[in-house]
Amino acid sequence: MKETEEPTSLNGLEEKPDDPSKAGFSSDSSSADNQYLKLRKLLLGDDYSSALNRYISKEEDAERVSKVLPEAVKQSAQENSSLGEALAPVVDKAIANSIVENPNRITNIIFPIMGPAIRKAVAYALSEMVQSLNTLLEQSLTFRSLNWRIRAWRSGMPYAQYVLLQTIQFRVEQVLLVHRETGLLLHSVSASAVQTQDPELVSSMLTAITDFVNDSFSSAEDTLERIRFGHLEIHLMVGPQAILAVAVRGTIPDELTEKANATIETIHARYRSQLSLFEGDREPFESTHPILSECLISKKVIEKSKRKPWLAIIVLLMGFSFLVKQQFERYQYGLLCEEIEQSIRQEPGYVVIAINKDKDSLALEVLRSPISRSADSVRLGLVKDKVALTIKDTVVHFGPLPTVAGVPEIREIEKLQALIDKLQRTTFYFDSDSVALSETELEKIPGFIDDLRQLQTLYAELALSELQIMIMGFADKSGTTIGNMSVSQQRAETISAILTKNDVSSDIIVAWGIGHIDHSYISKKTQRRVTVQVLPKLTSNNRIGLDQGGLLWEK
Amino acid sequence: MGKVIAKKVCMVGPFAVGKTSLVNRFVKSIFSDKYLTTIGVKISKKQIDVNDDKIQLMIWDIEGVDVFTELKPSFLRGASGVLLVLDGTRLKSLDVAIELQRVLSQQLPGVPIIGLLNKSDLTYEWKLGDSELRELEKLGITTIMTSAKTGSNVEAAFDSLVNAMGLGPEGV
Ligand SMILES: Nc1nc2c(ncn2[C@@H]2O[C@H](COP(=O)(O)OP(=O)(O)O)[C@@H](O)[C@H]2O)c(=O)[nH]1
Ligand SMILES: [Mg+2]
Repeated sequence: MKETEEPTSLNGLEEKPDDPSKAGFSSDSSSADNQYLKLRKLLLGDDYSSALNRYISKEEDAERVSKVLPEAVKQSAQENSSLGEALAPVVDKAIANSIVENPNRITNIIFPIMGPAIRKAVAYALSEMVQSLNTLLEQSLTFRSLNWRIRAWRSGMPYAQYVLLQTIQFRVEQVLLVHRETGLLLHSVSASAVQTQDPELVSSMLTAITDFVNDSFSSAEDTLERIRFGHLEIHLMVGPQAILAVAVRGTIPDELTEKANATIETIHARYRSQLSLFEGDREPFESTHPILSECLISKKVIEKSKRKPWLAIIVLLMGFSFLVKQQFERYQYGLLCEEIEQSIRQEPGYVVIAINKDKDSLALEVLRSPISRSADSVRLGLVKDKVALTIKDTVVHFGPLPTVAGVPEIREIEKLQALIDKLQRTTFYFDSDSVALSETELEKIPGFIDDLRQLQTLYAELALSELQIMIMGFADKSGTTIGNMSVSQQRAETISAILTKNDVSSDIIVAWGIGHIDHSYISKKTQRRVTVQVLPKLTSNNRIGLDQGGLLWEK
Repeated sequence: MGKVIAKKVCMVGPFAVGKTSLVNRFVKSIFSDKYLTTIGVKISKKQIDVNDDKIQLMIWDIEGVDVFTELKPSFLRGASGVLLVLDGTRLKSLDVAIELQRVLSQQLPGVPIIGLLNKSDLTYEWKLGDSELRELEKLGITTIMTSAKTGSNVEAAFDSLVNAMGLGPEGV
């Protein structure tokens, strides 16, 4: 009880004495006492009553000190640190006592502060990890990563972050705020069009499960963080007074965990008293709706099956059209070469004896009569940009051009033509690696010499220039080029030797080794041969054309 | 007016006295039996209307044989009321009740307890007489005779618990 008001000491002399019970005196009010009191008042003056009170009332002391204590502490702290030093052990002990007595209290207080600090530290560590992940990813260059790189660049975010986003797929279906002690639901939100369980039952169940796990594994500090069944995962953010349960379908991104942690901290900070006073009435927690709704996030992976691999298609098309173009060019080049070849063959006085077709060059070897056009002028007439044409020519003396002395009889000429044809159709075949004629081939010799003699006679009758025949040897494709050259030369010489042995003048014989020039579709046996050309080629106006029928490489 | 008030209540009692049967009788919807057996708890929800308010009872039913080892603090924590279920056909029920009451008053000081003497339909086997009932009353436990089989007094049992929790029609 508070005591009666302190007497105003200014006019204390006239004042009646205080209630004796309060003053601690208990005597009957007598005049002697009054006198004594007056004397005391005179001696002690104005301070009498307060001094009196000071002695008799501790409660008064406490009240007075309590009034000046804050100010005194403030002043002392400003002057020096001695008060702090003096108080430190006391405060330490008080805090220690408080924690021992009720650990929850301190947890409740520091939870909203510690949470963000710890998360910051963890986030820092994580970001460092992501950095190294970033460099790792940067080294891999696939078509998809290239595509993502471009998209990340366009959306202005680090590549690693973009990759993480692309690979994460999730949807928060339900968020529950649960009172930790009772397991009762405080508030819940759920994503639209999601089939959810009765949130009130779920929240009790979650509490029961968490308790069960805690009891079973007797872990006082650790709490259950995740419950997973199938693709649904429930994340529990356990605060001292409330639990935030986030039901997620899919892979949970760090972003969400952070968000949920921040949410439960915010709720603890804002609803501290409501949480501790909770008696089953959920109304005060309806205002958590917006914060809880912020956790309802989702992310879908871009449908990639529907997309056409355009880049791949373009690359393929380009490759294909390049091939087509190349093939076409090669084809055209082939045509061009053939054209050139044809016109050289048709050049009067030219005999093509070898063709060397290359990727971009065409080399021909020809024999030509002295009066024919020079190889250079023929070449210049034919030259095309795309083909590097070279003509290696050998001038062969065919004797004087036929000077027509009188018109030969038509019959004679036809006979001449027939003889030339017959001779030129004669082909001698050789065995593999052999330069000698076999018995059967030798049988062709008498008829051949006979025909040749007839031709010589006709030439003389018709007063044509002297006859010349060219013996050409060929080799099959087995063996080296040089080897083939010499074999074919020897084969030609074999025939020429037989002819000279049979009194054919060596002056009219030219033996020539051609080597191997045939197409592969010609049988090897046929490739090993010697053919004959009758020279000179007669101009077309006397109708004696010298065709190349004896040359198999002509079709 | 029109408030929804959620409360956690617990079913406590020995094995096979009829706790689950009582809850089943009282509550129509039952949340996945199978799942919860694993963790030793079955939770059901029942909403009852009292005046204008709705009382949402989350009923925690313990699953298990040995009530004493399984009566964990986490099961009782935060409960606003307890139904202590006994089997009226077993005389030993009284001893169990006394022991349970001791545990409950430690863990849930000041939380009302209603004693249910279940299986009242088995009259010819009934063992608990007036003297036993008086013992229970001495411990501060109001008792009600119930039968999960016939349904007799089941609603009344939960109503009286809600009343004892201070939420009844005549409540505060
Ligand atoms: N006759 C009768 N049997 C009951 C009653 N209540 C429960 N039972 C039976 O007692 C057994 C145990 O019941 P249960 O509810 O599982 O007990 P709990 O272990 O306490 O949950 C079951 O066979 C029930 O059919 C009742 O009121 N009367
Ligand atoms: Mg049961």
